[in-house]
Amino acid sequence: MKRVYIAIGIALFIKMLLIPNPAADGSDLSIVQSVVQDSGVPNAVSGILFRNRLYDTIFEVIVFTIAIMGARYLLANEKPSNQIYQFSDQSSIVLARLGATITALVSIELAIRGHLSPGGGFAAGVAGGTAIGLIAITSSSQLMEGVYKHWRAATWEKISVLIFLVLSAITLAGIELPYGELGSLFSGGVIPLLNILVAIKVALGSWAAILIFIRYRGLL
Amino acid sequence: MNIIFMNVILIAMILALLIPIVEVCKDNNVWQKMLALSSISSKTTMMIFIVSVLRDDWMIGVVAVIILSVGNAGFMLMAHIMKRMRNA
Amino acid sequence: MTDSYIYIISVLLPLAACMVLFQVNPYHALVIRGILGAIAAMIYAIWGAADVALTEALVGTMLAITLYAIAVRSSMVMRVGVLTEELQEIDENILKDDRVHNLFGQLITDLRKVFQNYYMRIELIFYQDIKELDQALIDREIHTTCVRSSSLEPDNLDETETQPYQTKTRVKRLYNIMKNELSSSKTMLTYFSETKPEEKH
Repeated sequence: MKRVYIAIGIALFIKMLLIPNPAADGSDLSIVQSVVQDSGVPNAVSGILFRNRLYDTIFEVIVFTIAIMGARYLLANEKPSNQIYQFSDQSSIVLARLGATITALVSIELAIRGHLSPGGGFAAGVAGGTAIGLIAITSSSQLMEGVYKHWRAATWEKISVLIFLVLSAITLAGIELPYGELGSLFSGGVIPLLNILVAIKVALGSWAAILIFIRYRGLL
Repeated sequence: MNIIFMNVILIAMILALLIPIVEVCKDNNVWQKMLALSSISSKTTMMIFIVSVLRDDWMIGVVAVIILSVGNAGFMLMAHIMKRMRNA
Repeated sequence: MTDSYIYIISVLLPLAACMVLFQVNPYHALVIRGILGAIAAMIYAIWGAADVALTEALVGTMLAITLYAIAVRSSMVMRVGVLTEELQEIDENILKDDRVHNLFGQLITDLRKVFQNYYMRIELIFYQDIKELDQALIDREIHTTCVRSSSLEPDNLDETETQPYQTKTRVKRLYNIMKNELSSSKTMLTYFSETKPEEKH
C-alpha cells in the first residue's frame, strides 16, 4: 500500500512538471490592475482578501476563533501547572523586550496601513501576537493573566469577531462605503476597518493561546 | 556586468548556505543543530539584503531587518529549553 | 538568464521540509522547523511577497516554536513519583558513592537509558508518604510511582532481597516499554488500571 501512495505522489509531481498550469495564460498585470481599480486600495492582496474573496476570509476568521476556543476547551479540565519557570537571565529579558517593542510597532504599522503597502490584518495580528508572546515568556504568568483579565481581552476578541462578521455581511449585501482617494490613509471603503479588526482578533487570539499553554503546561 | 557580478555573489552565498544544511544532516548533537540554525537564519537574512539591493526594493529589505532583529527570540527560547532538558 | 539563483534557492524548501519529515527526535525536529522557517521566509521574500515572508518569519521564529516547544516538552516526559526518603539517600550516595546503597540511583539511570530511545525524559517528583503518592497517581499528577518494597510491606523480607523496588504505572504503553526493555532486576513492575471507566478524557 505504501508503494502505491509513493507512486501516486511521484505521478502528481510529474503531472505538475509536464502539464502547464491552464490559468497562467493572460497577462497578470491586468488582473492586478483591475483588482486595484475595483477595490480602491493599492495593495491588491488586501483587496482580494477583504473584497473579492471576503466570503472565504470570513470562514478563515471563524476557523481561527474555533481553534482558540478548542484549545481553551480541551485544556479546561487540566490542573494548572504548579511551578512555572520563567526566563530569569537579564540578556534574554532585554532581547525579548527589544523584540517586543519592534514587533509591536510593526504590528500597528501593518494594521493601519495594510491596505496601502504589503501587510494586512493577518500579518499585523501575528506581529502583535509575537510582541505579546515575547513579553509573556519573560514576565510572570500571574501578571500577564491579570493584564489579560483587567483589559477584558477575551471580550474584546469576541466583540472584534462580531463586528467583523456584521461589517462583512453588510459588504456582502452590496452596501459599500465611499472609496476616497486611491493611496491615502482613509481610503478603500471598509477594507482598513476589516484589517484592523482582523489584526485585533489574531493578536488577542494568539495571546490567549500562549497564556493557556503557559498556564497549564509551563514554559520551560 | 554588475548584475552578473551580483548573481555570482548570490550563487556563492547559496553554496555557503549548504554548509550548515549538510552539517544538520550529519551531526546528531542538538547543539550543533542549534548552531546550524543560527548560521542559516543569519545567512538567509543576508541573502534577502543582497536581493533587495539587487532589485532596489526596500520593502524586502525592511523584512530582512525585522527578521534579523527579532528572529532570534525563538532561538533563545529553544536554547533555554534544551539547556533544561540536559540538566533534568 | 539573470535569475537562475531563484531556481536553486527554491529547491532548498522541499529539502528542508524533507529533513523535518524524516527526523525522529522531536527536539531535533523543532530545531529543523526553525531552519525551515528561515528558508521559507527567504524564498517568499525573494519571490517578492514581503508580507508573507514577514508573517512566516514571525510565526516560524516565535509563535509556532513556543507552542511546539511547550507541547513537546510537556508531553515527552514520564513523571515518576518517589518518596522524600529517597532524596536523602541520593544525597548520601553522592557523598559516599557506595555500590550497595546506590540501588535507587542505578534504577533511575536504567529507566533514563530505556526511555532515551523513545526521546523521553524522567522527571522525579517527591512526596512525603505512600498515601500522597497513591493519590497523586490516581489524580494523574504522575505517570509512575517507584517505591521501596520494604516500605510497602515490611514483613515480606525475602521478596525485598531480590527486587527491592516496586514500580507501578498507570499508562499501558509505558508499562509495555518497561516490561520489554527494562532488564534491571531491581524492581517489580505492576500495571495500575484506573478504576473510573465513567470518566471520559
